[in-house]
Order: sequence, then structure tokens, then C-alpha cells
Amino acid sequence: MKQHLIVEGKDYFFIGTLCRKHFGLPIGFTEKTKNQFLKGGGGFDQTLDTFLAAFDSADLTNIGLIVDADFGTIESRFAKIIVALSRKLNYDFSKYQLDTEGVFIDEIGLPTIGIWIMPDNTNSGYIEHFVENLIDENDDLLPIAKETIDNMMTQPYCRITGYKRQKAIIHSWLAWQETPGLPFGSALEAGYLKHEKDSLKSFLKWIEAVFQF
Amino acid sequence: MIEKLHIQNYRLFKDLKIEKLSQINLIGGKNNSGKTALLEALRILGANAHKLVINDIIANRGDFQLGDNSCYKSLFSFKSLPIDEMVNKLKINGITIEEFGPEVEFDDSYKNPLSDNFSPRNFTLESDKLIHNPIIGNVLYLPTSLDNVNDAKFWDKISLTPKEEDVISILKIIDNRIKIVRYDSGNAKVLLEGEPMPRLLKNLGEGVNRLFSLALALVNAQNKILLIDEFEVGLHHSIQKQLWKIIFEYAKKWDIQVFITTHSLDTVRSFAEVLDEYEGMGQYMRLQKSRLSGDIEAVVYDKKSLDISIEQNFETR
Repeated sequence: MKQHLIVEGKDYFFIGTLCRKHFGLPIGFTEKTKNQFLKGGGGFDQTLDTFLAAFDSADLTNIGLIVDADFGTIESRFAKIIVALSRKLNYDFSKYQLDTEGVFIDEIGLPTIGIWIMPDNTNSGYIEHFVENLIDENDDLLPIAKETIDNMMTQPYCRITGYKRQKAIIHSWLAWQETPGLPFGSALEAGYLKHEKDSLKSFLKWIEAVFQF
Repeated sequence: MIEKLHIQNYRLFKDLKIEKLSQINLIGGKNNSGKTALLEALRILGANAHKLVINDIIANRGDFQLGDNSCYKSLFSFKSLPIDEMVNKLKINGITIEEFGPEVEFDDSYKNPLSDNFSPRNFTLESDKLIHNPIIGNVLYLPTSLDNVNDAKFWDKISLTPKEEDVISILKIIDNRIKIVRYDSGNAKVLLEGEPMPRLLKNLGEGVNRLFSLALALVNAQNKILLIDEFEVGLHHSIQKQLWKIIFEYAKKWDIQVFITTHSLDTVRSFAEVLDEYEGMGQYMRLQKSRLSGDIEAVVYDKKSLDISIEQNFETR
């Protein structure tokens, strides 16, 4: 059996860390090979291509895809995935709709498939919107980060476009921690980002349904 | 060139369809996924089901008994079915073979890979002895064995022709001191640069000997179909890329269609790399048990998927 989670973007290893903290290692992986579970590292099109290529691999039993909603219509992004998947597997997936709990596909003769659109399958945004869920609600630095960035965006020296606001907020917040500038995974291990959060419930439920631990 | 393949009821293939074949086809898959059986089916196809090929295939499996037709039963899938479900014929593209009778039917809607002037007259039958003829019909078959009985015959065919030079230049990939090859009392000998006396080729190591068999098969395969079982046997990964380039070049130059089986990730990687320079000339596929039916199916990779799979370390074999 083989399992893979394909994620858009560069800083996605924290999702593996999140899964491990809640469920342990996915079946088929050891401490040494755990990073082989996650694949990705590109934009939407590249990530989708990687997801589709995975279906050619031997013994694939479980596969998940996590992409960003971005700021277009989330429906069209989802449709693009469904159309490409239907073409690749020669199977009609059009009956599957966007779901706040994440999409879960379990058809005979196919691997178990999951699709999650960051941050929550409903709203626009990207992984940094999801990461905000991992920050303690009483965190005193987060409001300061938001204020700082919002203020900066009114200034002539600002280089951040509106679209990247959330990225700037989260990475600024990370820059102000005890060990500044940790990537998400390390920040999770260090305890700056919390993994026991109610807001993660749907996501963790989706992970548990799609993969075997 | 064989454009596509449809095999029914042959050995472990209940119904195997490969919609599109390439000029160079690399075939991977687990043990017992049917890689060798696929090559056998191609041999049968390329020789129009000539009895010599079929006998050779059965003999290679150790099943052959001259005069006893029941040994042919092993060709048919049905032996794994209950008695009342047995089907006594198999099909490979346009050829139907009944439970080994002399009845072989041909369906003209499939393009026959054989040239029109193929005739059984090209073979000598010495009473009841089984003749290992290296080239039967349109197909050259190079088995896994490192001790290839056909080397001397293949060498004879090209000795003192320009193709001798092709063989030497291929051998140079492993040992660039090799200057001349000769047969002496049935043994291949080589003269190395800087040495006064020739050496037995056998003593130069597994790799060179395997490469010798490969080179001989290649230079004798002009306008034919070349089958190589287990490409990587005896060959270090470092020379595989050069060898692939040679295969692609000769296939292009001499119109050879090639089918090669492999277990090795190195082989798949080097194949994919070389494929960059020979667009559209080759494809990789894997034989595996279908999740749905349990029957063997072929998963054919397109170039993009192959490149991504290798880059991302998805299991291709």
C-alpha cells in the first residue's frame, strides 16, 4: 500500500507534523521516510499535475490533494480538479461537490481520494489563513501583527499587495517569536503554533477519513 | 511496427490491452506480473505463431515434451479456471491459436508485423531435434541468461562486415581498451589496447559479456523487433544512459522496434532522461494486477507523468 498527500506551495511540511501529532505516522512510513508522505512544492497547476501523476504509481491506496482557494471562485478551482481527475481516471466524478468537511471519494477499484481547498473549502484564501487557526486565540502579538501590516499598507513604502496581506501577517508574527523566523513545521514543534485547536476539527476528520495511520 | 497489443487467454493474461505501442517500449512490473509472458506473446506474434517459437517458449519453461501435445496447455490461461469454464483458445492481436492444434487463424484487420517474404523455408529442421534459432520470423529475443548461446551465431552473421565496428564501439562503453573481437574454437576472444596477447571475453566480467550479447542482438535486428529481458542484468547504472542512447540511435537508423523489461529504478530513470532527446520515440509502462478485476493490466505513462513520478519518487516499478 502507498499513501501520499500532495500540497500546494512551499511551506507544507507542517501538515505532516500536524498529522503525526494527532495520528502518528501514516502506514507505510517510518521515522526515516516520513517526509516521503508529503509531495508538492509548486503552484496550483504544478500541484494538480503531481496529484494526477501519482495515480500512475504502483500500489497507491490513499491520496489527498490540498490546494489554495486563492481569490478567484473556489467553485471553478474545484471544477478544474474534478474535470482533470475524471479525464485521468476515465471515470465521472462530477457528482462530487465542494464540502465544508472536505471532499472524500471512495469508489471501488480506485484509491481513496481526498480533496481539501485551503483554508476551509468555503472561503477565499490560502494556507496562511489556515495557519492562523493554529495561533492561540489569546495571543497578544497577533493583533499587533495585523495592525502593523494594515498600517503599513497605507504607506507609500509598502511593497505588499492586498492579496498577500495574510502571508505578511503570519510571517511577521513568526519573525517576532522567541526563535524568530521558524517555518510552520518547526513553529508547531516549538509550540508557537498549537495543534490542539477546535478550529482544526474538520481538517483532522478529513485527514483521518482519507488516510490510514 | 506493432501499433497496439491485445492478448486474450495467454498464460496469466486474461484480457490485456495496450492501446498504443511506441518504437522503444520499456516494461516494468513486479515479479510474476507477466513481463516475460508479454515478451513471449510478442515472439509468437512476430513469428506468426510458428511452431518453432512456440516449442522454444515451452522448452524455456521446462515444459516441452516432443510428441506430447498436453505440454501446450500451459500457454492457455484456462488452467486456473474450473473445468467447465475452460476456454481452449488464445488470441494475440490477429492470431488465434486453438488448443494446440495446427489451426492458427489470422485476422487481417490487424497489421501483420511480418514482412511479406517470411517463409518457414528459412529454417532447417533436423529430424526431431529442437533448433534454437536466434531469429524466427521478425523477432530477435535476448533472454535474461548471461550465457547467451546465440552469440556465436550472431557474430558469424556480422563478422567482417562494418557492423563488427558497431559491436566494438558498444563494448567500449564498459572497457575502452577493447580493440578486436574474434571467435576461436567457439570462444570469443578480445584483444585489448596495449596487450600483446588476446584474452577470453568470458574473463572480462559479467557486464562486458552481457553487453556483447546485447550489441550482437542489436546489430542483427535491422528492420526487426528486438526483445530484451531484464535490461540491467550485469550492467552498472553509470553506463545505462549511454546504452540507452545507443539503442535509440540504432532503432532510429535501422528501423527496429524494441521491447525491454526491467526491475530497476536506475533503468527507468536513465530511460526517462534519454527520452528527453528522442521525443515521442519511447514509452514506459508497468504491468500490474488490476485493483478492480484482479487481472493483469498495463499502466502506460505519458512523458509528463513519467518525469513527475521520477522527480517526486513515486513508485514506477
